[in-house]
Amino acid sequence: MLTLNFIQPYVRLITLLFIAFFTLPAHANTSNEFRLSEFYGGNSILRLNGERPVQDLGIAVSPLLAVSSATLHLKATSSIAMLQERSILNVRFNNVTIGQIRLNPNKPNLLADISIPSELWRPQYNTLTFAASQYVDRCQDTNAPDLWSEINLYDSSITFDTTKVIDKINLQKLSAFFHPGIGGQHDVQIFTLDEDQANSVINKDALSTISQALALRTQYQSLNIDYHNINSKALDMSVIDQQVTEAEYKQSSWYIQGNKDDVHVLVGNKTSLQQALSERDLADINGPYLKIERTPAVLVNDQVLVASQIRLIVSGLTDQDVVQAATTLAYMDDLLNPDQSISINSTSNKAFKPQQHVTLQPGRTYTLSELDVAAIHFNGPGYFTKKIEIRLPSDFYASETDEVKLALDFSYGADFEEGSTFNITVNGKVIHGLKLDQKDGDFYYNYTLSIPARLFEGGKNELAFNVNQNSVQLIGECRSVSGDYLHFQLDTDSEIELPTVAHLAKQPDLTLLGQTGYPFAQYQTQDDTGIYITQASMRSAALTMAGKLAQSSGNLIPNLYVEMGIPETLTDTAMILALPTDLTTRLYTDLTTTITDSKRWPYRLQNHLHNRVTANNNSDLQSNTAEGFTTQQSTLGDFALLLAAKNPISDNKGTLLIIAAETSNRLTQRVEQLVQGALWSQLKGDFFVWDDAKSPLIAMQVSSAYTLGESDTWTALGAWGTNHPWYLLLIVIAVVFIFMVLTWMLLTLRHKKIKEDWEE
Amino acid sequence: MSATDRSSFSLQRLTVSMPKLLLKTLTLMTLFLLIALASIPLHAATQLALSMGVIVFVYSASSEAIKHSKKRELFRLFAIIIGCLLSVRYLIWRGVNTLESDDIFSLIAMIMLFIAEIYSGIIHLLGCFVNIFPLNRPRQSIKHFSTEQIPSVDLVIPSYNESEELLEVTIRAAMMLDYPSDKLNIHLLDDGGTDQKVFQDNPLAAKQALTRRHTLQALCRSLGAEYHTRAKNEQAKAGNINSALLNMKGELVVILDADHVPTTDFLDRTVPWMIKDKDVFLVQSPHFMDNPDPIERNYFSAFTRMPSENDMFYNTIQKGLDFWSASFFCGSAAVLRRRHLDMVGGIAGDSITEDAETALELHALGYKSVYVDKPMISGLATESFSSFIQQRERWAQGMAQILILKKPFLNSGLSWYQKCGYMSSILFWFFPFARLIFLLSPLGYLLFGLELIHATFIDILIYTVPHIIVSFRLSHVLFGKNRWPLVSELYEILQCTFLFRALITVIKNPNDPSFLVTPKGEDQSKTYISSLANSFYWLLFMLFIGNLGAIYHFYDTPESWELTFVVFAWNAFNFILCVSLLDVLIEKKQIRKASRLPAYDNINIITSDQKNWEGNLRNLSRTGANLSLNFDQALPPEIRLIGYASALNKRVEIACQVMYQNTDTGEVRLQFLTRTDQEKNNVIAYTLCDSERWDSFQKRRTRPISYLYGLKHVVSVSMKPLFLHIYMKLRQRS
Repeated sequence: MLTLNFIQPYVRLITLLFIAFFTLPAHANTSNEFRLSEFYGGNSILRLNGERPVQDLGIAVSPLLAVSSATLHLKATSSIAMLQERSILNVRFNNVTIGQIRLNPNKPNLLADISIPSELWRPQYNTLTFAASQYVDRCQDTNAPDLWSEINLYDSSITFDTTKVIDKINLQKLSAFFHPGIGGQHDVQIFTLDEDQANSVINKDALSTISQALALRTQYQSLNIDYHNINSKALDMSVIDQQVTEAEYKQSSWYIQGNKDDVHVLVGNKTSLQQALSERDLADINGPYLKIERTPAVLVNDQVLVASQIRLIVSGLTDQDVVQAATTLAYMDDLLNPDQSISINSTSNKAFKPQQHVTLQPGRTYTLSELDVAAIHFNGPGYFTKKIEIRLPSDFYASETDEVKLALDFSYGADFEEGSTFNITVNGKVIHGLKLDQKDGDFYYNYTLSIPARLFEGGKNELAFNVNQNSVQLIGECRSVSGDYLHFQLDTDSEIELPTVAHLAKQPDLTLLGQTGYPFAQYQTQDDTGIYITQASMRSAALTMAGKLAQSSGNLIPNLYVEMGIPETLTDTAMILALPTDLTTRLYTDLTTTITDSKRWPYRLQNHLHNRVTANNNSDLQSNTAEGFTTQQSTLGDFALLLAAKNPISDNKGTLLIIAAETSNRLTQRVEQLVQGALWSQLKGDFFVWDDAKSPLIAMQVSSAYTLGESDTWTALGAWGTNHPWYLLLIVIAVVFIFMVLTWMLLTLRHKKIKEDWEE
Repeated sequence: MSATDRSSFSLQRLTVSMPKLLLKTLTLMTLFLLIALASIPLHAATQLALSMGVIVFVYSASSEAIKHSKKRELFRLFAIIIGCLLSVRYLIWRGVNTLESDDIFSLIAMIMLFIAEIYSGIIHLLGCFVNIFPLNRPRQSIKHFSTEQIPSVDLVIPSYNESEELLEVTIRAAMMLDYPSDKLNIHLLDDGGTDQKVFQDNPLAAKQALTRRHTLQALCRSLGAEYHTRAKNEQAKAGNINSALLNMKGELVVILDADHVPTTDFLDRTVPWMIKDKDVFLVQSPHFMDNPDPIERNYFSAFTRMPSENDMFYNTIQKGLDFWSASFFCGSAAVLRRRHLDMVGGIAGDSITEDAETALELHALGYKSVYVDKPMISGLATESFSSFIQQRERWAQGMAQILILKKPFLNSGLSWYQKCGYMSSILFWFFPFARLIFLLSPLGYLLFGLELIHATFIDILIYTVPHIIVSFRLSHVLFGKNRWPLVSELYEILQCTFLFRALITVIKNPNDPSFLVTPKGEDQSKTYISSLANSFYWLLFMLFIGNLGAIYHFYDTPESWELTFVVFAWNAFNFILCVSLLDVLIEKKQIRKASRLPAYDNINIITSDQKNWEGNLRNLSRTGANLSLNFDQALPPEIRLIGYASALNKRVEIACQVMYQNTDTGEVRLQFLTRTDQEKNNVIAYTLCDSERWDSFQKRRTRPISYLYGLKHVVSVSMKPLFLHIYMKLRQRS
């Protein structure tokens, strides 16, 4: 007892310290290193050409992350023609110069470590700028080819020491937790506590919606879902020491091992969560309910039995309430929710088609300001680009002569010199160019351009305004003009008018799936779509995939559910996650590739070159089918396979996607790799095989093409004809032949009658 | 039975067994299906595949159709249908997708060009329809009928200002017609000697009219024909005939223009169609011209080698119209039934093309027409370009009058296919509108920057170019033997500016145009520039400026070089055609009074001392001949030519004067002497009254040539006429 008495004050002290610790902002110090190429969309070599080149890199950091120190490790090469005394590489961070590196012609390969002061870091988005001053001569041509340096972004890196600062937990913080930048959470555990009914409403609908809701917050970063049903290990009080009450233990995150600052999600209706929530929480659940909280730690004998965790509760009185809470989680703006919990009274979504809230609507006109573009000003000499994202419905199907109209208001100032141009590109294709050659500048109002709508594709498009501003070229010893007077301005009243188009898309097309989530997310309809799993352990992979589809579509896919087992009839658009042994031939159309016990492979050498996937955009509806196959007995080994084809077991026309791997674990692992940006962006064709997160092993187009979507009869016929040009030609020939025969019969009848007249 | 025969047999059985209504319904449904197929919007690559496929099928099928394939008619039909399908698709695409512009002037230019294309498309489709099954009728003869069955005929020769010599030839030839003489009466209807003319205020003209009346009365008396004239010159040719008809009682009326010399078998081949079917109101035969028109003479210099302009109409289109019971009266070389004429009040006179108007009225009453495809009339084409234009203006105005005043498309008496036939013939004459637009449209872009077609270069390649290729090919299939490539374009360009003005006059006031007699037998004894050349100079100037505009466009807007290139090629093509057409405007001197046509008859030459040499004709005209003769001594100045006159079915003797002889080469040139009636009759019978001679001559020159050959001919004319014009103009001034 003495011992006990002696220990107790210390225990109290330690407990108090713990409590004090937990009431203070939470801190977790971590160190990470990232290659600079991860922050740059282009090539891993960043080239700086000309006299005063400038390039920016965006570095996103979770707002929960405090950077205590950071170092930039730079590897660069510069021209050996540089003038040492004047050539400098300036490194700026959020527009503050943090380093100046002399470009030494005698040491063209440079390595530098530059410390980034912690006070320069801004929450969320930071800019790292490389600005070079490059001279090879006292008087030089600013475009001389020897004015160059290059930064090896792959070998350059940035090292952070960061601390996670979570000072007050509420629903506002959710976006910060799942921020796409450094320090954001890219894995999440989801727990349910209900009886293990595989296809309960919660398992089927709510989990999918929650996965999507969280994935939408990570934006372009993948989010891996790790799902657990903890019903089987529900509250075993035998493990609890007498010093801990049942109530204390219940409200902890007893179902999680270890200590992490990550958010996990607990899902269930009020009844099923009895074992995991405090009485107070349970009392608060009177309908759809969302709460974020830090669960208390459970200490037994100074040892942490259950660590404190950050928990998101998605609950309600009934399963439907849980679904509604999950839906609200998907739609809600976190910034409008400063509370830890909210109870949802109602959600109004009349004939809601989420895709119509994500994309621009065909047939409408938008000003640049409506597209969230601020006024565009380009000042000084150089080459300037403003890129605008035009997100169109994924099944945007423009006819041959549909046009997108641009009505631009822009102006430029005086003394633009030879070589000054204004070029407009759509998805990298130049659609218009204008020489800026008026000495006194010019102003254009309603400068109208008609662009063939077929240059735009379903999904994201890039409209870019590129202006090259040249100043006076003075000939003579060291004469130059700064060119700061050059000024170009594009007004935000400029408009883009979209044509009314049909909604058709060529299928199967994994590229379109990767870019827009089509056909799971459609512009005009939002039918039920199912992700079917053949093993219970595949649910995590299915939820990860649901999240990725929502990310690609840019919004919640409300009727996307995850179902256990493959029913007789699938939803029109469906995805099956399965082992080869779980699959049967009834799932395969036209006897193309099959993945069952035996495999039917469209080996490339058995097929034409086109199977290596060429142009495959939505407007190019050419058929591209494999012809040669080999059927064999083999396994899938380490790789997984994603196959898309016309759905053979649905009521209406749709697309079926099958993801298969040899084991359930491998399938989950491969799906986690697939949803990562590097691999997801490489989706193409309808036959996609991979075994890592970097690049596919093989991607091909093997199935017969078909179209999905709604359109008028002519457009649908046109799409079919475009898909099957030779069939169309044959039909035309056949109809012409029939018409010829009938006409011939009529003509001979008439001829016979005329002859009868003269033969009488 | 061979496989081909079996398939043909089964098709015939199917035709017999299938009810006609069902057949028509099925055809109509298939036609709608075809139109639906033609209107499906397609992606560019698919359209390209479709266009290429259709071109391949059109060329393959038409090649079989041109050859003597057993199933050539089926192949021909297939090529026509699938080719028309592509053209319809093109027009739908033009209408639906290419008419859009923010600039009102561009939009106007665009719509005008589209209307011109629609017009051309309709003419093309109607042409295909009309000529889908040209009717070939068998030879008929009155010898198969008893004397009682043979009807009486009044042969009328309306005249206005033609010379006595010209009329004498026609009357003499008419007198020699192979027809019972008691049933044939020849009438000269003189509108140059009417009371109105004789008693006009101008004493000199009145005296000439009186002299003419007396001269022609004497001529008729001497030849056994009846002379008719009337009080007033009302309603021109139609009024002349109708006035004379009051004094005639023949069952049939044959109308011959003053210069139209009939062959002896004219009535033998035409009248039987009247006897066989009492509902036939008209038997029309072709007009064969034994001299070149000014374009053939000045430009092509290929009268004997190239199909004549009217060969296409008489050798193909009239046969096509005949199948649809829509072949129409062409004013001469035709037999009409008097009873039917009386039912519509004689020859119609509301328009200045009384012939087509009369046929329209009688077709609308349900009566039939027959076309006998045998040249049995030889006439004179216009000699000068201005008279050629005058003649065409009358035809164009007359057809426009019929369209406006008679509205054949609304005429309930006509069947739908007769309406198509008439509309095809009438609408053709509106080509000046379309042709001027095609000539001037490129200038809209090159000089004023107007957008002509809202389409990309690729669109033009996959829609317009295949349509043009297929249209040319179908024209070749339908008319290739009778119309060489680019000839139609040349004729249309030549006429368009003048006919445009003429048509505008009719549109303003349909009753305004008056009948102008086409001058024939004009003096062409010197070379000169036509008085109508000025408008071509302006046209050429504009096209030239257009070409300069193209060069400027290439320099100024290099980014749109593809479009500029297309329009430039179009304008340059127009320019080259117009430059080469300057050749036509130089009226070339014509030495011979009558043009000579190739002939190969065996002949004998006998001198006054009864020496006889054998030889054969090289060429022949109504005034002389060129021979190849085996002779070894000089011929005397006057000899006799003995040859077989098929027209008279006997050998005839013709006195000739030797104009040139060469014993080394055997060439002898003769001029016929016509001092006595018999000599005159023999010359006419030998040279003008043999239909086989015209037939073989026509067949000799009707042959197809390739498009490239036609193009080569045009290009080969090059800039030479331009310099010639400048030279002649300068010389005129000096």
